[in-house]
Amino acid sequence: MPLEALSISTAGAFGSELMPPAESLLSLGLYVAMAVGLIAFLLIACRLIGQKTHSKFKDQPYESGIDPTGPAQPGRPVPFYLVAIFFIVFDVEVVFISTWAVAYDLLGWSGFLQILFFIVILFLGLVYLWAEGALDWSPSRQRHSATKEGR
Amino acid sequence: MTGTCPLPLLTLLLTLPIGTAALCLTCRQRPAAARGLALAGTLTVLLIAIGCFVLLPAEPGWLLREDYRWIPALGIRFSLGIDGLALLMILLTAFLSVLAVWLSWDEDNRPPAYFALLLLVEAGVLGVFMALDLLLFYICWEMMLIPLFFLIGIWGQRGGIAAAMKFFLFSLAGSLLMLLAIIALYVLHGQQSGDYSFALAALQHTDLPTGLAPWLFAAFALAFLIKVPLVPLHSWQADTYSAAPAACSLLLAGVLAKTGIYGLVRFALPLFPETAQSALPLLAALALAGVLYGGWIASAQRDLKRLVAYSSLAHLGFILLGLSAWTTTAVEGALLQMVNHGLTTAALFILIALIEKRAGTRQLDELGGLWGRVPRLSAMLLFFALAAIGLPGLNNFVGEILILLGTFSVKPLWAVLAASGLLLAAIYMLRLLQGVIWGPARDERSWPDLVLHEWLLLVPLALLVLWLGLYPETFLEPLRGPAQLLLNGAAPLSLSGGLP
Amino acid sequence: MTAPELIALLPLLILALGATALLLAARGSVGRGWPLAVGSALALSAALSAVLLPSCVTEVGGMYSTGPYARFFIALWSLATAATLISSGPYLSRRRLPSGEYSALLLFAAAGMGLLSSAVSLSGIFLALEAFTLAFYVLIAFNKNCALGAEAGLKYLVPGGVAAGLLAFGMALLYAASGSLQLPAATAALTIGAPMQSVALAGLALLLAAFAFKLSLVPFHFWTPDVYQGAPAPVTGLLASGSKGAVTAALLTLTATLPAAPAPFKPALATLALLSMVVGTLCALAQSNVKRMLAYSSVVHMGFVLTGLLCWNHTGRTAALFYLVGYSIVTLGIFAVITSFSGEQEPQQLSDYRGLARRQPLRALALTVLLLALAGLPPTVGFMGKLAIFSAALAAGLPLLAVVGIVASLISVYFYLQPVIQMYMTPAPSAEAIEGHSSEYGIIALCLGLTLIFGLWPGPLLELIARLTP
Repeated sequence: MPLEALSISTAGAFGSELMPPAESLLSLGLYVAMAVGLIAFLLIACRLIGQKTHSKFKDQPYESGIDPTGPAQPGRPVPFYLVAIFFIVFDVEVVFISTWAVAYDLLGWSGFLQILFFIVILFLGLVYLWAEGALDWSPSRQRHSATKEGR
Repeated sequence: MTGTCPLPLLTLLLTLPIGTAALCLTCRQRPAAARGLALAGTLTVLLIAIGCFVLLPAEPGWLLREDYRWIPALGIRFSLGIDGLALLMILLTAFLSVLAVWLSWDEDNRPPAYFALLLLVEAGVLGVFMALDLLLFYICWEMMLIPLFFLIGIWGQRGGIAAAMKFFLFSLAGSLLMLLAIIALYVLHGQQSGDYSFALAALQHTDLPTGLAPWLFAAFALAFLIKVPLVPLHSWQADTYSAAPAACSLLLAGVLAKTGIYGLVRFALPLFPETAQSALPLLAALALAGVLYGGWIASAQRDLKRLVAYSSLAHLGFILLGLSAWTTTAVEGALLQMVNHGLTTAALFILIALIEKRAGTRQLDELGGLWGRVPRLSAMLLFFALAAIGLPGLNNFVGEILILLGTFSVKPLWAVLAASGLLLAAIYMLRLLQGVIWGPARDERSWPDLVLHEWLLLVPLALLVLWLGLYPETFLEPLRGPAQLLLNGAAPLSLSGGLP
Repeated sequence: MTAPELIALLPLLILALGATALLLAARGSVGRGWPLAVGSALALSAALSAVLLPSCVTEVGGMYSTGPYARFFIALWSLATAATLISSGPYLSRRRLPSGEYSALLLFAAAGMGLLSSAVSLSGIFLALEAFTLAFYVLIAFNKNCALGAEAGLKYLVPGGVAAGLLAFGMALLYAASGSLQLPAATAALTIGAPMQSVALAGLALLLAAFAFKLSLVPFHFWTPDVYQGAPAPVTGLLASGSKGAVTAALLTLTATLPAAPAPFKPALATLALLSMVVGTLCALAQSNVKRMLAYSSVVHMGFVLTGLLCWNHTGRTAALFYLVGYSIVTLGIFAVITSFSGEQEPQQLSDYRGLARRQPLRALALTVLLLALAGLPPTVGFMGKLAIFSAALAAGLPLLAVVGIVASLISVYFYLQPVIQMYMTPAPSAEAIEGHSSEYGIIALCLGLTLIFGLWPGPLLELIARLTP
């Protein structure tokens, strides 16, 4: 087995450094096989030995002991999505800022100016949203600004 | 060889109608001014053409040449030139354009646009007859097409739009393939000599791979023969001629058909001499089919315009037959016949328009008894119909007899078959005369006979018909040189060598 | 980033920063004209600075070139954007759309298109492509009262996302194979005998699919007619000219780095071009909606451009670029006419064009000439473009593409003439005339003039393009 593995890893004429060693691949394969096998075993065992009775109460969705009420897909207020999207938009930018932060001393003033530019532009975006009333939850403001934004 | 002239006459000939057309468009509010401008423009072109015809000596090579840089990046030059044949064609075009403007003098539907388009057609046709750069030729070839589409579509009679579309697509199908062939020649020549050029004189010296030459020749021939038209490609013709306004039918039959034959003579035959030689029998067979088929179908037409359209098909078959006989007499006859056919067909279309204006119809069944009501008009119709049949002493006789003689000396059978086509011509023309001039009148209304305005249209035509019939030498002389050069396999082009 | 680099980027900075400033300054700008004026002034000054400013550096950050090729396209797309902005004033005010956001988004798109045309690295291509696509997602659905517009926006967004995914994955594969994102180095892995050539080819295939989506080449064209139909007319004009043009410019840079096409790559591209010409033409024949017809016609025209690229030599690329410039001018003109014909509704059906020549003779004439230019008839720039493309194709030994192209352009004449027939040869249903604005007339006249000038005198433009083509 080790001999074979050795021959594989040396036989690759090009790109051998990109190819992980065979042992690691083998353990990864074993791990995947075990995970899949365990899940399959649990599911099949459940199906084989589980009880198959149906009744009105058993088929109800479980809601911590409280009787389920209302439709399964209730409408949510639109501002929720807006704020969620804004959060994602502004949160992802942290990735760039932190990459600058870990190397700020190497990047020097030039790097500082660049990240400053980036932050300023971001800030302008926030100002625009604010001014458009996109962060305003109150219904009257929403109605008022509906004609101007929210495409 | 190359004539020198202080004025760029050829450029002037090409730009004069375009400029007049632009001027016409500007007088949107004054239709009378547009009319006058159009007439003045076409008359000036005619005067220049007559001047060239009278003053230039009849030489075999180029009479006038002009050559300017245009698009050096692609090797395209603005290069114009005329020999005897081109000059005669220009004369015919200029003359018929004047008649076309004069004939549509009463046009009241947007006259400025109408006359502008008519002038653009003239410019395109003149460009086709003068261009020596293949790309310039192609541009002019398309330029005469587009205005005609609008003329037929907007000012045409019932079915005009469909006819315009059919005409446009048919013509374009041929010309786009020709464009591809032109480009192929250009590329081949460029790769062989390093000189990327569209000049005819240069492209003539291209070595063609054996497999390719027939295809290229076919593409050229297709474009030209659709425009003529030759028999299997003719289905647009009758529809278009009958739906087009009178002036357009006149130009289509009188001039546009000639551009096809001219293209064959000037470009397709000299560019591919060997292939052309082997294709001549096929061309002759199709031309004969055209003569017989056109005559046969024309005998069965009820609509006068369609009748003349099919008779035109037969006459053009005659011209192509003369070309494909490839003897001096026949080729000279064919080239002369181009002028003859232009004159008689134009006259017939004018007469039909005049009859239609009076009777409101041009169906053979609904007409009759014209002699009693409009004797002068009927006399003119008789005169031109006899000319079309080929009565000795009138113009068509000269061309036909030359073609038949020249053909008979090499291919007697062709000549015999073609002569039977003449018989058909007599049948349909006499049927037309019988139906229109004689017989009982359909109603009692009295019609005005020819007025001065209409005499002016017909008299010059009649005089020319007589001139060509009695003393054709005037017009044959300039054709001798080009015909001889064509037969020698050297179009006049090689006389002046390649381009600077 | 150094000062020379900043100066080299000045045209793009003008566009992007100007757009940001405009976005903040022109809020609540329904019915106002000045944001459009400021926007077009910014675009014009960007174009001017791209032409006039000398650039001391050749590349910025290893991602974007600042050479004459890039400068030419930045100027071209800025001018196209300026033309779109100038001609869309009445359109916006009739529909009560905010002109501030509109101008800002168009300027962002212009910056993105300029960046894409100057990209010299894979990451540069990706960033720029997404930058202007993002602006177009919004612009297409800009009229939110129009259901078709919303549908069009979604139809552009979803496949656009897929295309972005393909693009990123393809670039990752190319990077894996070559170890570089710089263009000549990244595509070096495609040459025969290079290590991991198959991985690189797979990457290139994905890259190609994403490009084909943006260029709407068959079979990646399904979004095109719906988006053209639903998007506001001026936006459609810029989408058809600028967006496709910028992607073509990037594809040209990509192909120019390869001395010869990798073996399976050329047949694949040729198939795309053939399919685009054939399917596009046949589908356009069946349309009764002018904008949908133009959408399919754009598919055909991209097939022609691809034919030029496929020649794989300098002549072919020059021809493709010349065709592209001509096509952009003509398309902008056509959509400017459609914009100016738009009253409450855009005239989309063929029957909407009935008798227009009587009521609006000048614009009808302009539309006719521009449609004939699309059909490739002389004396317009469309003819010269076709001439250049077909002669390059025949010289490079691609007769099949040339013949199919010729047949396609013959058939296409039929559908290009349909609006012309409606305008000139059918009686008008009513006498209601839509007054044109002088700005619209100006842009239409400009496009028409350039169409004719480059059709009759293409020499200078051809030589310029030949000089800057890589």
